[in-house]
Amino acid sequence: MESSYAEIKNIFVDGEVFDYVNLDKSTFAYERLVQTLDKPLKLILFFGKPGTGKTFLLQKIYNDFKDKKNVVFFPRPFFKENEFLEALYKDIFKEKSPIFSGYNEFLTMASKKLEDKTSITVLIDEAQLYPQELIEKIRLMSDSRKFKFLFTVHKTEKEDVLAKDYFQTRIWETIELHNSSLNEIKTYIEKKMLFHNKFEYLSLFKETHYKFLMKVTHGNLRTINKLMYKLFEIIEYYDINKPSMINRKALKLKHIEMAAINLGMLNV
Amino acid sequence: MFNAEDIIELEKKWLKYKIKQKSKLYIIIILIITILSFIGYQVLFIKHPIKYKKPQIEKVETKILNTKPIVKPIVKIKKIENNDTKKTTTNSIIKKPLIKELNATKKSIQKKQILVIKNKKPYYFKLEATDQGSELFSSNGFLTLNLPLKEYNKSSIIEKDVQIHPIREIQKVLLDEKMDKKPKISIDMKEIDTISYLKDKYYATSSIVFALMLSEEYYYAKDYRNSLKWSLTANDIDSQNTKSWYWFAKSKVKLNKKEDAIRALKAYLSNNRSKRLSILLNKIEMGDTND
Repeated sequence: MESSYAEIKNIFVDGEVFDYVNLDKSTFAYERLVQTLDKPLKLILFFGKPGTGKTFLLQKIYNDFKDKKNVVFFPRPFFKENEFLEALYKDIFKEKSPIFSGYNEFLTMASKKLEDKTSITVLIDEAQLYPQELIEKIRLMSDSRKFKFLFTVHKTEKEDVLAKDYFQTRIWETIELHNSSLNEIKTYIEKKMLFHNKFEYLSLFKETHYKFLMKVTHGNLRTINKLMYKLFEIIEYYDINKPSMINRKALKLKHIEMAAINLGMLNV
Repeated sequence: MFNAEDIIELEKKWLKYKIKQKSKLYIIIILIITILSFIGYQVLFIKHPIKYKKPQIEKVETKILNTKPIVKPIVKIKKIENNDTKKTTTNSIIKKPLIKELNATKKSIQKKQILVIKNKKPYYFKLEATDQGSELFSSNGFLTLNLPLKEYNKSSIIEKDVQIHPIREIQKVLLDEKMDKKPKISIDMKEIDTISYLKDKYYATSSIVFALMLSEEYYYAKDYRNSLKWSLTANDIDSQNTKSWYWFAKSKVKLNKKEDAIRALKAYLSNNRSKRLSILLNKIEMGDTND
């Protein structure tokens, strides 16, 4: 027996590019990022707290511009120089990469092949996970003006990414993505529902629910996704096994609290 | 998807969470109530402690001390010199509106003192020492005192009057009246020197009780002139006290001023009731002057 809530649950599965939701803050960041692609910059730092939608934004930019501009996107980090250079070569020239002895060899070969073509924009997600030595090589590559790098970095409470040595002097532009506000959370959920043609379920959400979501997730979109997924998973169970426990007109705060407890967002 | 066990476990956790949440709320509410109660206690009982009511009489005394003394002159003495007989006649003229006003003032103060006897008629007779020889009352019908001046030096009377005349303090009056109800003063002091003792007590307290006792003592000591003066002193303190009128009348009789005594008693009884004074009046009128 399949519950209709299972479909809603799947809306909030993380990682779908097409599911990007235009929020005020992300729209603003998107515009700025697009502008930087046309500027003669070498290094751009794009940072924000985990779950603010940085990866989603990068994915959207990549999808929007991959056919129009020379854009490369690395959603996962590289820990070795060779692996990074080979992946980059493959993505730019759409062919199998030779084995490079070092970044100089890669630069020489890439410059010859690119000739007078405009620079290549490389979108690097999770840049804080890259080894410092590799970051330094990437910086040197940017000096050739053939490559433009956009680093996406997590900003945590304890760590200020801008304080790191390798980002201090050579970063030409920084863009920060903040957590969502209460209204943005509403918009996010509404757009998610509408995008997936589940607008009839929108009436389930009331103001108190949004406030509670804001309270436990602090506007973190990834956390909201997790919580919503868990919520509809719980409701799905009740729908199949104890249908009388569900209010069809509005969500029960109890169920949202149960989801938050299950995810460890509320201390018991 | 969740199974039944997961959901039961989750519901238990949720219940625990709610109890924890509510208990926090209850603790906060209890704390607030406790703090408010403590503040309330501080405000009500510490900063403004309950004042125990002092005895009413003490409160009234304090009030009266702050008020002006009762205006004394009720009777205006008018001296008329007769050229032919060269006698001085004193006429007491009452200004009725003034007296009414004074009575009203006096009554209001007495009400404050909670000492006014209910249903008593306004009283404004007062015994007044004069040097008049024949008239007890003025033409207007007010009481004056006739002393046998032929036998006594006028100046000496005035001088002694000054000595006897009490410094009147209203709080003493209150005390007197209080004591009047329960005059339990030992009179076993006779053997030492009763009169001196009573005089000391009177000057120390200005109490009507001692004035009346002095009047009585002098009367039984057959010193009727002093008895009369102390009755006047007592009357001056409280003109409504029947004892002052009693000893005044008895002294007058002994000083061969029977008519004065009768007129004084009649004047008092016309506005007041006193069984004791009525009997005394009858006795005087019947010519019974024995004690």
